Amino acid sequence: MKKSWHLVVTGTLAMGLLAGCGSTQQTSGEKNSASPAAKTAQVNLKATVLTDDLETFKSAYAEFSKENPTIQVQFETIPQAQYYEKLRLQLSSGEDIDLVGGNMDVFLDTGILEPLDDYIKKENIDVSGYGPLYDSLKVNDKVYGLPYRKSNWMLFYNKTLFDQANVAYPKADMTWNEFRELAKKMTKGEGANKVYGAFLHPWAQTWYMQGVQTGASIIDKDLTPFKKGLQFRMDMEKDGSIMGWAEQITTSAHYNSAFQKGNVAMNLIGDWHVAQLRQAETEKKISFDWDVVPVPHPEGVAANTSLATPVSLMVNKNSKHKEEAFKVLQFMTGAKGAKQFAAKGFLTGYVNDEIRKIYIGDGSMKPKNIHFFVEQKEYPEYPLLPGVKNILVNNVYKQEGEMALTNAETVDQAIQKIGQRVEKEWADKYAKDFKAGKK
Amino acid sequence: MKDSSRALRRNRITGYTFLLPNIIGFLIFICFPVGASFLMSFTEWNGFGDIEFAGLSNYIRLWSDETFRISLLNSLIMTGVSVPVTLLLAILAAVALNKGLRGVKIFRTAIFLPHITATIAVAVVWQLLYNPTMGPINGMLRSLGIDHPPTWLASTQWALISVIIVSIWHSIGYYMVLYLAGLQGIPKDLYEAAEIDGAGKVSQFRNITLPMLSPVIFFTIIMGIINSFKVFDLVFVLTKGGPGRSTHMLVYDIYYTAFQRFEYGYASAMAYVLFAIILVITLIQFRGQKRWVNYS
Repeated sequence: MKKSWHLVVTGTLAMGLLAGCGSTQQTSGEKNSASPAAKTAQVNLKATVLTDDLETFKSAYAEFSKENPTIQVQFETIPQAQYYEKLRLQLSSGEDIDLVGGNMDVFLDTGILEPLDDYIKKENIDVSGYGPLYDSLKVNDKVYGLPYRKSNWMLFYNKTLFDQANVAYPKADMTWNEFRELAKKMTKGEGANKVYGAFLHPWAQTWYMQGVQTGASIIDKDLTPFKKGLQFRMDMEKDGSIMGWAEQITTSAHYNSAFQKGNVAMNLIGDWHVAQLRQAETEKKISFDWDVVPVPHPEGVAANTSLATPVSLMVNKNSKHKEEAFKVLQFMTGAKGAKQFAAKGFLTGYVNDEIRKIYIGDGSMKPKNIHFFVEQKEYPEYPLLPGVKNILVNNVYKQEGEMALTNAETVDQAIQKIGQRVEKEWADKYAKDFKAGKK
Repeated sequence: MKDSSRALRRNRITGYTFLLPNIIGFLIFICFPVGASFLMSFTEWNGFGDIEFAGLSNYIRLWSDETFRISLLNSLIMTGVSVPVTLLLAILAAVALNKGLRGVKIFRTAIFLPHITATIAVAVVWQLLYNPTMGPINGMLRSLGIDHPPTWLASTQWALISVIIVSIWHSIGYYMVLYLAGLQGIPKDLYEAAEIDGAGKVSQFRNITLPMLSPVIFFTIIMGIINSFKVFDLVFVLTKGGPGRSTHMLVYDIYYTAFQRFEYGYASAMAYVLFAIILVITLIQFRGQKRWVNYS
């Protein structure tokens, strides 16, 4: 008797769940088809954006709605770890999301991105504010999204440690070899009191960066420019001036907590670290002084040559209100939106003198030399094509890099293996259909 | 006669009505996805646009997929090592803890505890234990005079073994409880009779305990193999398949293919190969069981 009741209860629960799903879908469908008819002027849009950007989008939207009172935008987010996974599932099940934020390359293979070239022409948008980024974002000669912000690499350093060691601060124009020597000079102590000259997060970017700085791309046929960077990371590990890869992995060491701990002299990481350090400062978690300088560069490459990843806003091809959606996109990615993002400390895709000034601020906030960020010559961190990030950066480069870092392969073997796997696991599938418009 | 058959039918209808919600749930949430993914394994689909029929190409592609080959090999090694060791240790623990020794309950709980602890917590604790420089494992090894102990999870040679050790530790308790239940079910008089006949402890274990326990052993071998092939969470938290691809396992590869590469058809094909492997191994065991499993 007990068992059958149990069944009835679970059964009804299951049915209830089903019914629940069904009915919500119905109402959401109704809302969308009914509301434009009911209030002709009002248009409701839905946008899904990255968690870190949600607040800024909302405040920028407040500005936007003053100009466009008839366009309602509901901003939503998904936690970082599942962002792309879940958003893709939502989009593939046909959910009404008009605007999508994030790394454009993740959505290219879905075919749901609306090409924006016609809109840009029609609205006569001045794209010079995006600089070379505008062209490098093109895929198959089309624009599928515009960047509202970007992540650039920089070298953070702990001024207090340099003062204590009586060593001159890192120079704005520094080669990788000079960086290595400086890191050696700053390394001292043992065990718990150890001071590391530098911290290189276990991402593949921290070593393949050196190749990209010379203009190479991680999908190139010839990957020899990347050997140096991998060897360099291993050499620094041998020097003892950075935390070893094995220790980083097993202690889940993180660039943010590592640098905040105060025993890392130089931290090679992205501009978002500025916000993390500012927050730590307001929460009184750190007491040392810090600043930024351009990332070190290979011999023969101009100083302040860095890597950048644009974060874009895109329009869903299946949106019922593409015109209005583009209006929002135009605002957010253009000068007006950029002002809002720059004021919050984000590097923006669109840049002009006014935005540069807002970003740099009045000097009351650290870092003192934040201006380096807006003076960078930048290469895309990886080609903005489908699969490159998930297959190549996060797997092939990471895995084979690890083989070298654990001495299971030599650097030559690892790079050779990467070349083979790029061909087999990525190029065979995507290289034919997608070409980046890199100039 | 008529009355009784009608009553029987009515009973049946009532019975099935009670079962209906569950059957519907099973059809919708289990049967349908299983069938759909089988069909999907013959297609190419990234979640958007048209589903392209791909014939057997997904299955053919598996043969030349190096990551899949590595994952398959890792899964086979994991199963080959962890299942026998887990079951052997579980049986020894069960026999030792079957007697009413002092504090037996504490030991039973201690061995069972890892099984009911969240995998994430288990993984985090083992990460600390495995720490090559500050971890207690290497601390002990160094004090025993080993100058260069392995770097465990950070070594391509040791990572798989490290994962296997955690998995064994994690699952012994579960199988021990099953064996304990089996041991309790063996009639005492068998041992008494054997003792009167002059059989020693070892011979009692071999000739009474093992045969009487054989149905449980059979069950645990099958479950052990299935669970071992299915391992995902432990790998995901401990190593993410690394370093390199040294702990890439089948289910992790399926996850990576479906949700990082967005190749649903290809991932389904992998899942069906996994299904086929488990099916074949289980069928072989069911055939072989007649020779050694004692159901009397």
